[in-house]
Amino acid sequence: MARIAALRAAAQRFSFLLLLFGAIAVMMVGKVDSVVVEGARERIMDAVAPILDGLSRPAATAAGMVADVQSLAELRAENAELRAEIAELQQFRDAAFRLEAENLSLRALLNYRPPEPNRYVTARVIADNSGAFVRSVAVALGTDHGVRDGMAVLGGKGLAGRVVQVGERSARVLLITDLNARIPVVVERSRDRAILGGTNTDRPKLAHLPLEAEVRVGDRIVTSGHGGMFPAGLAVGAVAAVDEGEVRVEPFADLSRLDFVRIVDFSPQVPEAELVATPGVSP
Amino acid sequence: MTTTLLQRLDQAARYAAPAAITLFVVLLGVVPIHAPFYPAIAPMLVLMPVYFWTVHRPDLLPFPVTFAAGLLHDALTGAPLGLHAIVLLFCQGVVLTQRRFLAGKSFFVLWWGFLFTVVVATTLEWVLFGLYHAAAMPAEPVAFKALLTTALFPLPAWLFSHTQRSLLSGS
Repeated sequence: MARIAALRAAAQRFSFLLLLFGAIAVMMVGKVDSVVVEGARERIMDAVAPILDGLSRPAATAAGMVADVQSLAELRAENAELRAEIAELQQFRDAAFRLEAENLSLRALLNYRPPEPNRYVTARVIADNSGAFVRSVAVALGTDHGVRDGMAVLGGKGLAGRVVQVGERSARVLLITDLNARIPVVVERSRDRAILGGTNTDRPKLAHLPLEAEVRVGDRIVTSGHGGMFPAGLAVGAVAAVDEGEVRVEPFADLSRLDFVRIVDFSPQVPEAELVATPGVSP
Repeated sequence: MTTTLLQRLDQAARYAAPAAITLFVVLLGVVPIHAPFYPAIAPMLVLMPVYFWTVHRPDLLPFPVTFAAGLLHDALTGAPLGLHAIVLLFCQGVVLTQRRFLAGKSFFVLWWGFLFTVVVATTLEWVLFGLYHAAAMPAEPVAFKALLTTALFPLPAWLFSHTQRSLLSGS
């Protein structure tokens, strides 16, 4: 009996070491050759996507109810704020109409051909994987719906991230706050180019700014379109703090409360790769 | 004969509970919470069932299940695949050596043990992430994460011990 117990203990110790080294090996393979490991990740994600979809719905409903109660309490103040905003926006609208008319006449003069409108699809966020080390979310759409690697993902008011991994019915979106996110941007006011780099905090920072660049708090940051990853001019965020050469940017999109995101295809139109809208979700 | 088969199936289902709960907690851990500031300090939920069952019923949470839970966690969160498998297995190994000391003690001893495990887990996680990305990771959110994980432990622990009493008592 004692011998069997000893054998069992040895076997257990062996399996422990085997799995531990297995895990280390998986991690190292993932670092060296990510194709195999990413494929496995996609398959796992696809397999549990329906479960996550089911789990995320009640969570979203509960969060929605909390938000409802909160907004009920702030209704009066919010109303006044919105009225003020409407008055302000009315001026912008007038300006926009005027500029559009001017733009149209100038285009007609120059025989300018505008770019085709972009196609997009709205996707539900089914998993929020954001932690201290990674900032990403998973959405319930994949290659079946025309989503492809590298597509831009917009969340409400601005750029949220980029599709980095696609399964058949799920995709992973790397948020702009992730340590690995690097986005070519320009400061809208001064046209200074820079790279927006995530730091795993809520505010990514601007790197590679020209030395003579003069950035102020409140400056809008938009994508520059360099590198071809994103089109130029997508709103990203506003400069929130400038100290000792470090410029922090507050993203326009509320990345901690992403319910739905828009996945936009900015590539030239390819007829066979049409984006298909999710059933039950109108884009 | 039928009853024995049913009984056996029932027994198997009960024995599978700890492993199933552990895997379910991994899924629960990535459900969007929609709370500001939460992402940076999101607790490491999966450590709770791994710790609890390793102390109370290590026979029902074999190493391969912990390995699978770690891989699933990595696949879902976008962490380097295998990283949390290393963290969880290592923690399980450490807790196993302290099991005699922890099992059957008061809840506070169990909680202290969990605090120790959380510190080991988050430190290892921090080091591995740093090595993987070849960059120093911010340490502050990690400390908050460890605190939050430890602070939240009593509720799941109560649920787990309830499960243990109702499903696994007498076995």
